[in-house]
Amino acid sequence: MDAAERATEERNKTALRRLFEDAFNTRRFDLVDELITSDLKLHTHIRPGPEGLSPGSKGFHEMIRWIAVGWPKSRVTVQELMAEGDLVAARFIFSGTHDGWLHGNPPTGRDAAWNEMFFARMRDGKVAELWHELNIIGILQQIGVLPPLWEMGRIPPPLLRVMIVRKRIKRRFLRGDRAVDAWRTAAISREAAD
Amino acid sequence: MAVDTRREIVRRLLEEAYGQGNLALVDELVADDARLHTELPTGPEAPSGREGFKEIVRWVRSVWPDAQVKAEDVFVDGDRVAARVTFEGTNLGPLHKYPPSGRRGRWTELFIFGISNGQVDEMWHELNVLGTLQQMGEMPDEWEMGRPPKAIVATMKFVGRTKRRLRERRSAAP
Repeated sequence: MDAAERATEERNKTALRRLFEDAFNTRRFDLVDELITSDLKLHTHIRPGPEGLSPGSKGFHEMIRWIAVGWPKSRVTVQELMAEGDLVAARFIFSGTHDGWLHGNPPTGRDAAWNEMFFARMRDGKVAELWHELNIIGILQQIGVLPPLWEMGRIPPPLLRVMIVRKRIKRRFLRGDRAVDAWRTAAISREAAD
Repeated sequence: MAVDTRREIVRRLLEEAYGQGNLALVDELVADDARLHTELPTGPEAPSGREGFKEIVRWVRSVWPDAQVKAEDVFVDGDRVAARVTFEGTNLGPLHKYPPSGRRGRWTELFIFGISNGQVDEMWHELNVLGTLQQMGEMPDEWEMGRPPKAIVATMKFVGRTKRRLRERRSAAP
C-alpha cells in the first residue's frame, strides 16, 4: 500500500471520528457540513417523525438533532474505526439518559446504552453514503416502551392493540402545545440554528 | 496472510455459511473460542464460540429457510474485516413465539470480524430486529407504539413467572 492511499484512509477515519466526537458529542452541528457531502445517501432506521428523513445532508441534520433532543446528555464512544480505499466502518457505544421525547413518548429519565455501527463510502474526505445499523427493539425495551418480557415470547396481540390505541388517543388529545414531541422540538431547534 | 485471503474468509463465511447453511465451512473458518456479539434473538443465552456460530446459522435457516445473503462490500484493515450485507428471505419458520408469516423480507446487516490464524475469532453483528419483525407484520411502526399500561405489564410478568414456576415444579416432580 502506498503512502498516498494510507493518508486517504487516515483522513477518512478522522472524518468519521470528528463526526462523532466533535460534531455530536459537543453538539457542534455546524461542523457536520464539513464532514458529509450535501447529496449524502443515508440508510438508517432512525426516523424523527412518522414521515422519515429529508434527502441529502438535511436528513442527517434532522437525525442528529432529533437524537440530541430525545437524549440530551448522550454521547458516543468510538470502539473501533477501520478503513480501506473509500470505505470506513465504525463500531461505537451510544450512552445517555432518556430525558427527552422519543417517538412521541414522554421522557423516562432512564439511563441506557447500546452498540451501533456505521459503514460509510467516502468522497473527497467526506461521507457520501452512510449505512447505520442498530437494534431499535433493545432501545424501546430499555426505556420501557416494549416490555422486557418480549424476551420470553410474543407480545400478545391484545396488548399490542392496547399500546397502539393508547398512543392514538394521547396523540389526538395532546396535540397542540402540550404535545411537544421530539420531532417538533427538533424542528424548533433547527429553526433556531438556521 | 494476504489481505485478499482475509476478505475471502469473510465473504465465504457470510454468503455460504451464514446465508446457505454450510456448517462444514464454519468448522473451517471460525475459531473454537470465537467471541460473538449479535443482535439476533437466537435464544435466551447469547451464542459463543464455533458452536454458537453454528447455532446462529441453524436458527437463521429455521426462520428463513430460503435466506440469501449477498456481501455487498467487504474490506480489510489489518486483522479486522468489515462487511455490509443484504439479507433476503421468506419467513417460513417461527421466530421465538411469533408464528411464521410467509412474508418476504429484505434488510441490511453490518459486521466486523477479527481474524487470526486464518479463522474468525471475533464477530460484531448489527441489524435492526424491530425492522425484521415489522416486515413480518408482527410489530407496529415505532411511531404507533405507546408505552403499555403498567398494570398489564405487571400482570403479564406475574403470569409468566407463575407459569415458569409451575413448569419447574412439574419437571422436578418424579
